[in-house]
Amino acid sequence: MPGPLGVGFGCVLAVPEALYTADLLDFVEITPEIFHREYRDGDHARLVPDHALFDAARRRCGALPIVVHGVELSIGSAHGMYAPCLAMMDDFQKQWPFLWYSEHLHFQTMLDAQGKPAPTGVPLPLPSTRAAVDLVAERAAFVQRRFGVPFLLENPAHYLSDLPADSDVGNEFGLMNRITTLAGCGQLLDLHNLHCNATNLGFDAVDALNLIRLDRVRELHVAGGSWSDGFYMDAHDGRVPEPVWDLLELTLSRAPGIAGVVFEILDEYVDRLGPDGIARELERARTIWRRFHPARDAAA
Amino acid sequence: MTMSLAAFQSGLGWALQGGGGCPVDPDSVGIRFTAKVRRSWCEGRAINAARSVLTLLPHDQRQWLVAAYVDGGGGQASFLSTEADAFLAFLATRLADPSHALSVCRMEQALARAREGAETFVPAAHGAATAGGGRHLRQGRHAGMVRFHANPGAVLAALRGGPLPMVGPAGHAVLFAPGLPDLFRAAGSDEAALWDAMPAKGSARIADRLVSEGVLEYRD
Repeated sequence: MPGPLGVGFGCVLAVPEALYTADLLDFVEITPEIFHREYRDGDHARLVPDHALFDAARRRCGALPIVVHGVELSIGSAHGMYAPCLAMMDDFQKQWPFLWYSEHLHFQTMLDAQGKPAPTGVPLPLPSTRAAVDLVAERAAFVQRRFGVPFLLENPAHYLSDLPADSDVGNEFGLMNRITTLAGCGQLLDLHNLHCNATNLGFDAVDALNLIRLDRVRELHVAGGSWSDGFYMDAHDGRVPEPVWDLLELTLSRAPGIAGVVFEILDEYVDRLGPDGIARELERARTIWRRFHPARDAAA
Repeated sequence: MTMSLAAFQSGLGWALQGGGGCPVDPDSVGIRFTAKVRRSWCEGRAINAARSVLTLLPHDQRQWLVAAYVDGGGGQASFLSTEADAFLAFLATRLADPSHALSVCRMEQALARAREGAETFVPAAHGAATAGGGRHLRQGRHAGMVRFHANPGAVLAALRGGPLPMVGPAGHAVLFAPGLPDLFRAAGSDEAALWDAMPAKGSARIADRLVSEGVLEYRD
């Protein structure tokens, strides 16, 4: 695993390029799918790069190191992962090497009534079962070998309180711990997702940190959310709430292997926060980060 | 869990679309909210995929079309290009003809085809069109021609808030093709006539049959 990088931000094309400076960021988190178009020929799909968007992203990131955060692999789909993503990542890595690759621990395709893969329309959580552990751990190990960089799985936000579970796996934390241990991969601990699930499903997020293998956590996400119909949603639509900043402090104090913290916001909400607002969130993340990683700053 | 992982996933996925066999409590607030989020994501994808066409429609018609599309299983594709293909095809059969919205819809479809073709396009040698050699000319599979019912510039300006021009005769033809700079340009009247005279993909077999029946013949 690379040494500590610091604070990163997504490659959000709606944000002014001026924000992508080493004064504010230590690395950029790229989602390659947004630079690709999917072409389908019957059941066969391929992902083709949009060169204009790809070139714009490269200009924007300059010399900043990058990590990859994929969104379409669907590593938890029982019938199979979305294979075009792997081919896309092969090509992407040749053109723009990255320090690690993360994906989401969920499924977003299923088999339809005809037994064909079909989208679920929204990412869905896995049950905490041995079958899910075995399936994802084998795939995660495969992905990590294929790309030769650390592979991290992100804990998802969801609203389902009665997911099935095997007693020896237990819950979402047991599921993640078992997978990362068996696969030898890392975890991307999304603190906002943890906060969402704690709020919606009724557990204590700080207590939950005791259930997570923090020695496996390599990256943290922070983000903002909003309320709808009595649920707190992982909307990535604004400022990071105070409880998530508190979780960031606590996690960094207890997990020395973390290499980076990323603030997430969706394109459509950039105007709401504005460049100055985004910069303030990044600066706050950096201030907290430096409290636990003073050596690098002293050297700089 | 006794149910297989695949059965769990299909059961949950179908339940969110109104099907039975939900592997968790189908009446829980969590599953109902997840279904609502899913619906919202699907509608959002559809709107993003055809934003320009929808901009030209009245609010009620826009909402009705998006809802009908999502009710029919649309809005689930993660990639914008895939969703756009499907939603534009849906809209093309439901928009008034003639209308500026339909022209823009066909423009978006033609542009997507030209863009896809541009990935692998190799220009034909000059003079290939008249080289003959027993080959048939037809409309390019990644090409298209769209007729606008007003100056296309004025129609596109309406997408940015300008006034929508009156719908007139289809006198403004625009060609879309992978070998064109920017993938499009205005078509001359001779080009438009030639395009219309060309067989579309799959018509070569029809032409062959008509030749064999003496309906058509080769020029000397």
